[in-house]
Amino acid sequence: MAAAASTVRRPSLVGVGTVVWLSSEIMFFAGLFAAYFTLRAKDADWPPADVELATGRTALATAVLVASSFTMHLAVRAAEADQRPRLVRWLVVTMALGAVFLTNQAFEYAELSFSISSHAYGSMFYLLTGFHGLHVLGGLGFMGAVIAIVAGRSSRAPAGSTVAVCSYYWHFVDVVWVAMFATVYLLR
Amino acid sequence: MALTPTTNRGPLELPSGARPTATPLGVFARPRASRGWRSWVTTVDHKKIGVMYGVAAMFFFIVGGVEALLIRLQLATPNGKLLSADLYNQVYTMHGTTMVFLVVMPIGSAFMNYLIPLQIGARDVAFPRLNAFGLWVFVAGGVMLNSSWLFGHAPDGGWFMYAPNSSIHFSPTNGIDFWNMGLILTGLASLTGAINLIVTCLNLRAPGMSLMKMPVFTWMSLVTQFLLLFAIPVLTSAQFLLMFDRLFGARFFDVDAGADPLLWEHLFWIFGHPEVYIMILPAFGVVSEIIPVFSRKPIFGYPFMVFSGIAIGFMGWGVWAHHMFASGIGPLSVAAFSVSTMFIAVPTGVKILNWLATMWGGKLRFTTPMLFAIGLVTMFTIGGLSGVTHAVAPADTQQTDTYYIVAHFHYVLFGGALMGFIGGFYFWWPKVFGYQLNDRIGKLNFWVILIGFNLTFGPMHILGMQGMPRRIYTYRDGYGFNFWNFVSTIGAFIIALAVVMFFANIVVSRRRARAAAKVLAADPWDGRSLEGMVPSPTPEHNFDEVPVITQFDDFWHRKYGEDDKGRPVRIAATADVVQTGDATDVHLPSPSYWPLVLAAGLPIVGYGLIYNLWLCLVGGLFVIAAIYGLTMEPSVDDEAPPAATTTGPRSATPARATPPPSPSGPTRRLRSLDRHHLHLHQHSGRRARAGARGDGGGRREPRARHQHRHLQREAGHVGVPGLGVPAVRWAHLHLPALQGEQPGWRPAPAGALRHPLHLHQLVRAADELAHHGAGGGGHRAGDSAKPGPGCSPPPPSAASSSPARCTSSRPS
Repeated sequence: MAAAASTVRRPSLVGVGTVVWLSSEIMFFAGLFAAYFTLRAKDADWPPADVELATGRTALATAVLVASSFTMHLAVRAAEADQRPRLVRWLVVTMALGAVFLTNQAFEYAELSFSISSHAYGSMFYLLTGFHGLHVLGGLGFMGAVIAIVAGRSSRAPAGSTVAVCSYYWHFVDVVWVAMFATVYLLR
Repeated sequence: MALTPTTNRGPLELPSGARPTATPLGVFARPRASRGWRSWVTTVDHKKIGVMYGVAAMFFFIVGGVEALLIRLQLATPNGKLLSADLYNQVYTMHGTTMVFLVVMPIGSAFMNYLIPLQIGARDVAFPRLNAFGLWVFVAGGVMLNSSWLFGHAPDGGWFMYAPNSSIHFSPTNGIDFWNMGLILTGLASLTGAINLIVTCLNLRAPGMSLMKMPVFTWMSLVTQFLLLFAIPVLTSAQFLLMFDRLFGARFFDVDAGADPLLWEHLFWIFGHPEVYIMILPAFGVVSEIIPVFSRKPIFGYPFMVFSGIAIGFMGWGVWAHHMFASGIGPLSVAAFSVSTMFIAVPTGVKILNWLATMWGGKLRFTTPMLFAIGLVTMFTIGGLSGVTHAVAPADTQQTDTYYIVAHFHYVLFGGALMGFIGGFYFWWPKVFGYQLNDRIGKLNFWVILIGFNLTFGPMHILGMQGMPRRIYTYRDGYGFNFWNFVSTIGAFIIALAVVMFFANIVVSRRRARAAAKVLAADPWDGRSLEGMVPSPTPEHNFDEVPVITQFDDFWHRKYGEDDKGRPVRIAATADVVQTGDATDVHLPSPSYWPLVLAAGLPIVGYGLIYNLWLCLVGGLFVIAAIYGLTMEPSVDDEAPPAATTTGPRSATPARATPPPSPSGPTRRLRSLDRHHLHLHQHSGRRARAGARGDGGGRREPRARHQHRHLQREAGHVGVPGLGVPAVRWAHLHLPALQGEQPGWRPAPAGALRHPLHLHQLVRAADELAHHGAGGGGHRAGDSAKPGPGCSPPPPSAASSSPARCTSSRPS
């Protein structure tokens, strides 16, 4: 049948739509980064004296999150080969890595000495990392839904494009975090 | 061949004996209404959604217009007593916000939603339910914003809401929180709309329609959508900063805590200047459609029109700081942004000159739409020129925050955007509603609006030069402001009269059209783009047959050729070129309640953030339930009655056989799934259909036709864009066919079907049947390679065109 198909091949609607949507998300984070750099440029006292970030531990968490991108890719490979158990396994691993990252973030929030109301830096720090954390959380929910609805045992539909879309999102979240880590923790 | 299983143990029987269900979350039955208000609130049809955008925008236009009249009444005489200073602040803030976010942008959305699929030859947008969600969340945002009047205090910081002036210290009421929430919601609407329409333009164009054959309106809309896509998130992020400042004690705009007062200005205007083009580019697109039609010439310099629009789209990002010349950003920034601002006038000038060149030597017809289009060209030019004066920074520092600015942006937004949109209303009204607006009243309407507009905003140039500041609730006698303010107020009421005239024209024309009961032609203006090809009003399924495009202005070239001197010569009667609105075997996405539920949950979250966080929980539950429902709901309702013939009500309809009694249970589901699935992928579908013919059944006749059409398509070797089906479902239903044979992907054995919820099993089975059908089918592609009786042979002068062009009329 496929040989007879003279149909113009078009990329899937959801795939294109997701890429378009993520490009818009880039601008959302760009707005937050712009705010960070604007405030940083104007403030001689940046970051303020009471700010002590656990850079080493967060670097580790960053490595975990980056690793989750690779496991996500393995999940995509599994989906393309229609190996469902492998797909579910890699998705679960990815979720676990994401959860580790979020746990680190929660610990950090709990032990930091400043709050969102302390100073402009505090506001910026919590908003940047908080919105990213929410995106990670959303990604975990997304993967959970993919496992439950698309890749689960009761389903026989090809999971390829759904998992692909999920992976676009997850890679995006990872890349944003790498930029954020470099900005907030390394560059300061 | 078992599309109608004769035994009870079909491939779809579940081991449990339960029947598979198509409504996984049984809260709502699928909406079925095809008329009445229910059909509107649950619709996913891009045309109904476009109309509702227009209706909502016109409602808010009246709200914003009343606010404008209040402002003008207050300023008609010195020491006005109508509004207090505080109330005046609220009124001008709401006037600006309403007109920008709830009027001009959604009118643009109305045109884009309605026209883009028609102009690119698609049956709907890429994500129809997302489209419905966009509409409802826009309405929710508008209602939420305006509900601030009822909750005590409207926002009062001006439409650009400079922080820290808008912080909780200076504006302690909740008004600005409503502004934040409302505009985050309308921003969400813009964003979903942008994603949807971009994917529509990229993926769903008719065969043969390359990007450089798209109509200019669609092009300008595409640029607009990209601007929205990138600009709206910046506003949203700025609004989150403000929201956290006001509600959760953050200190982004608190200078004592190390903040920068310019932060908001930068973020807002990075959004704000692209926003200017978001508002004007669709109107540019509208007049680029109107002027060629009434000049009977193709648009002059089509590639220049396209690329100047794209250039505007790019350069619009590099001029934001010209709104901030007076804020102390430093001489280098001022110089750089002055230069870039002067540059951006160039692509706009290209457009103006191209419109003029289109009219040059054309056979002009001064109908109402044409008058409004010319009105845009002239009035926008005035506004554009006063805009260039802002690029001169020393002058701009004098003009900032005076009425000169107010005059400028009303000339571009009212004289530009709205003038074009009203022209667009007159132009596409027949296509949308099936009757024409009265041309005589329309022309009068144009002149009244033109006079009123210039009387209102022209004097503001003078007032601004005299130094009258904007946003001050009154002025003293003896400043020399009295006369021109009074003139301006008179002008405002003349505009109000013109708006009343427009609505009166709708009533009068509608009544006359009903009395006359005349059949309106599909193509009343002798138009050029594809929407002229479908009946007026547009049938629900748009195109009977997706046209194959060979050139720009394809519809025109189906009607006209050229003689030796390059003059247009008619080569085909319009009636032979247009379609009849026969919906046979067209399957459209079914209506759904979920977009409405999702949109209703979001403002609850918004109110919760303002008043009580527990309310957020309620709203959040709405949202989660709605997302679940949207995900699990099949985009096509398997059990809906077959699509009614949505032929234009007054055109002749071929008599149709009554539909056969619907089979029940899995059979019915399989059949409808089969129809749906296969319709979208005609190559596998043809064979299944071919196989299905053998077993008889009441649908034989329409099926045969349908198949015939597919075969015609194949003759042209072109693909047909599928309907958009939302996310997860799309993946389930369509991926295999899109990607051909997936390695390692096997049909599931019947015994493996366990879960009652999974529709794709049915698809699986249907696909399997398609394969079997291919083996036993009796109908081959060659059988009807010759054109059907409904196709007229291509006219000799159009010999270069595709053989598959004869898609218009069909036997009745």
